[in-house]
Amino acid sequence: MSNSPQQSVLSPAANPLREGMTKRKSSEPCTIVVFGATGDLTSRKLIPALYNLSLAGFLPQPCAIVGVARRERPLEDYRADVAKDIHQFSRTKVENEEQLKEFLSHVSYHATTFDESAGYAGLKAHLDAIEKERGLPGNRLFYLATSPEYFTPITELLHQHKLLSQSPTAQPWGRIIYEKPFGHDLESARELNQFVQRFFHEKQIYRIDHYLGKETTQNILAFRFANAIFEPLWSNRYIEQVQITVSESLGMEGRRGQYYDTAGALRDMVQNHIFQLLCLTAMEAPASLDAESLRDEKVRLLRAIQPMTPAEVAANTVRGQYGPGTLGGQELNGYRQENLVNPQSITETYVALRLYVRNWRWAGVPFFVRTGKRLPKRASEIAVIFKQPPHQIFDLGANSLRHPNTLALRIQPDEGISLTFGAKQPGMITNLQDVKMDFRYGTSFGQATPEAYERLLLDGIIGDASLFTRSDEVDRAWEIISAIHRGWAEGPAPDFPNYNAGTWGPQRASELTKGLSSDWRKL
Amino acid sequence: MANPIYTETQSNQIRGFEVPLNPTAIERELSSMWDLRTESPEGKPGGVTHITLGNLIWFGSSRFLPRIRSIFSRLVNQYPCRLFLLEFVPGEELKDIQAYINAYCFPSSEGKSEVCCEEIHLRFPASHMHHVKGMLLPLLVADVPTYFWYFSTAPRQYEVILSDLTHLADLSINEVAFRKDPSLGLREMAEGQNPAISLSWFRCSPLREQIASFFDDPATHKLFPEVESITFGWMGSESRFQALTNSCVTLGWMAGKLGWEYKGNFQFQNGTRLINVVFNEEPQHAGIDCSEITTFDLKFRTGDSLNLHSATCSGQTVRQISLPSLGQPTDARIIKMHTLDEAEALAHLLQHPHRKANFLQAAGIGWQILHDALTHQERFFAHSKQSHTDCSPDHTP
Repeated sequence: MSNSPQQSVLSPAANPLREGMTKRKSSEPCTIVVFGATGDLTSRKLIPALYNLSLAGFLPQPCAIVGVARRERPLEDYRADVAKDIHQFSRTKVENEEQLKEFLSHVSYHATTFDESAGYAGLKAHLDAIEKERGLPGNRLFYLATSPEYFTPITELLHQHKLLSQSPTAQPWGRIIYEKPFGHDLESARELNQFVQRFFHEKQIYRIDHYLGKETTQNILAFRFANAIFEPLWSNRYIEQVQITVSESLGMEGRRGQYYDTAGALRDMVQNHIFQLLCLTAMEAPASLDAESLRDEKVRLLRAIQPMTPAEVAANTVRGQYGPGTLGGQELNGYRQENLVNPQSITETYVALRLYVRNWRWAGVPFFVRTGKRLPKRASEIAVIFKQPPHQIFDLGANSLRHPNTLALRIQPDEGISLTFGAKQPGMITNLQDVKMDFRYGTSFGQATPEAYERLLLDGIIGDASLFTRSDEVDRAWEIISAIHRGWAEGPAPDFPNYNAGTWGPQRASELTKGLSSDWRKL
Repeated sequence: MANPIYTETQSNQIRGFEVPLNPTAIERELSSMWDLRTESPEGKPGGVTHITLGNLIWFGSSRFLPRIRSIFSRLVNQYPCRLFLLEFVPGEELKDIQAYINAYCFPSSEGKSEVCCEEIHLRFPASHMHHVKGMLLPLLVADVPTYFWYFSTAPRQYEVILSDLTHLADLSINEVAFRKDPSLGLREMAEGQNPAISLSWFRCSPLREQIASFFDDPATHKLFPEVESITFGWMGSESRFQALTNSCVTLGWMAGKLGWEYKGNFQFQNGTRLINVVFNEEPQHAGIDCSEITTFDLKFRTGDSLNLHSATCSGQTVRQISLPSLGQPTDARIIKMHTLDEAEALAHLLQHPHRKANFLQAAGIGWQILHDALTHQERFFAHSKQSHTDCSPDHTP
């Protein structure tokens, strides 16, 4: 955003001393309460994120971090586990034990069952006491890092015990972050939205999608709207197709199979992460970066994607499930042989879709999305594939330009952007070759990239909902996904398993890209 | 190519080679260095990226080289750039211009490759000063900003080169408190044709952030018209000019943002009301950097006050903060406030050069009160024996 004087005119409520400073919102003193404090997400992501925020001076001063879980345990044991998590999972290694000790001094623990009212009175007393002791004003951020079935009882009991106010403008403030998945299908998502909105205002509800916290995801906006050179090309006039890939080499490690077998690739990845990437790639420029403008544009984009009819589902989707295979020299089980997976499961571990955004800008441009488990490598990228020149003056022999211009926005790993174009090979003969201009985050800025959860937790603390999903956004995404599920349910039973672990998915996925200048990208 | 130099710093490797004088040769030698680096050191292939977000030219004398290199080695992680060390060698020791190239390398954040930045080091005697600009110009990387950093002053015979470099740079960086007359320095920066900024502006940014954060709550804005007095304090007279200069620039910043007008005699006018300014020099305490502002006290007519005070707790400098009560009982609390060192401040500046607008506004007001404070030192510092001398680290008598 520009810093021009015209734009720095302050509203009456704005702090004049902030004019011209970094737009870093200050975080007010608060208490961060994490439900599911002993879970995997808290250990691997939330605790390290809070520690890194503290190291970088982003955590409010003072603040308190309260872990809530079911098992009774002494505070010292919990702090020892938190220290262990930080040593094991933090991106910043612990170099100063004093800093760690200082961070741990903010951490406390409270044991309660999540769905019984009795424990919440104790939690309230615990929070009140800590806030009094530390001079905290009572601002509270609740993070529900629990399994989704606890979202409703926790929400209701937080309200019942007045653990946070019901108004988005009340002081002290209260906010709740809900981990994904937010709903299992359209119906359950709607029920859940209606349920939580009975107790709290939409502005207090933060539905997390950690893909939005990734630097590279946010950079899509910067790339599109801070550079004048790309936007004129960003339409059906110059773009032939867009491919979004989120591939994983992992299978069902540990207890993952238990959840995944009830979800599948479409629910697990497309409804949230991939749709967010699609929205940021294809939406119109928002009027500003504030939460509502940004989310309005995302919803507008999702509304331009029509839910498919069963016939369209048959023609525009491919689902798959991996069978046994090899990857990196290892023999791998098929999905149905994985731990905690139904041996007759028809859950898809791969999905490829051809979607159309029915608006002026994108009419006729297919958006291909694919995601899967046990693919050859872990990679997330958005590839914008441009049309060929209208008239070719070069001899396109076997060794000449073979690919259309492609702009690849890599989300992970090797975060960055590359542009492929044709160049003349040195020599007496005019021969064209693909060359690549490559920008890499890691080598261009040097600075370590913060984890997505750091950014999202900080946004929750300061009350910036831009990178969280709104109820209408979730609703529309489920409408599109549920139509696909309906189409699959009405169609023939899938021929699973239909791809080998360690390959790029079912052969049939290539049929989706037929007639275009390039097939699925080989990543 | 001759005499490879290998030195190690804490986290980065610096490698270099003595090269011939010709500027064309410098570029060629840089290319050779990258080729060599790509193949070496253990025969492993590739993996080096060299990047340049800007040109940073430093000008100064030999005795500061270790300090500057230490700053550069930390800076490049935050702001990778082509670095130029222009080292003037006084006296007869050097007869000709000497050139060296070096590279600062660090592992990329993805850990797969090394990222390197180039350093071009030119040593020159006074007699060859007029060649320096001509050597430098072709070596500047095009299409990226050029920054010129010097401490403050140079011997008279080097003034021409200071002027040349100031003109060619997009932004000049120096430490205004080290100038012989810091108030004149501030005024020149505020009113001058060539964009310039004082590094201490960025070193003091955590203090400004903290002050600004008091007023993020709109309920506190009613206190703005009620400000009665502002006190700045520091410890020890040794770095009075740094602390005083920083205090006056901070005052200039507040006055500019809040619409206060300096009326002279250490008073600002805010509408119909006057605001008194007080400077306090306290005895030096161990553990606190004497150039820091250690006390910031804002008194309001409502009886409220806002106070920031530095203290040492278990060997760590912390700040104790008392907030205006606004009708609610509040206790003082301890906060940690990181003070930026030179490398951090420089990185911050190079990443946010557009912030100079705020500095220029602050300098345009701050120089006036600094001038008065320096003219009437006895009023505030009667007990102190500090005289008004140039305390620039780069001052050559």
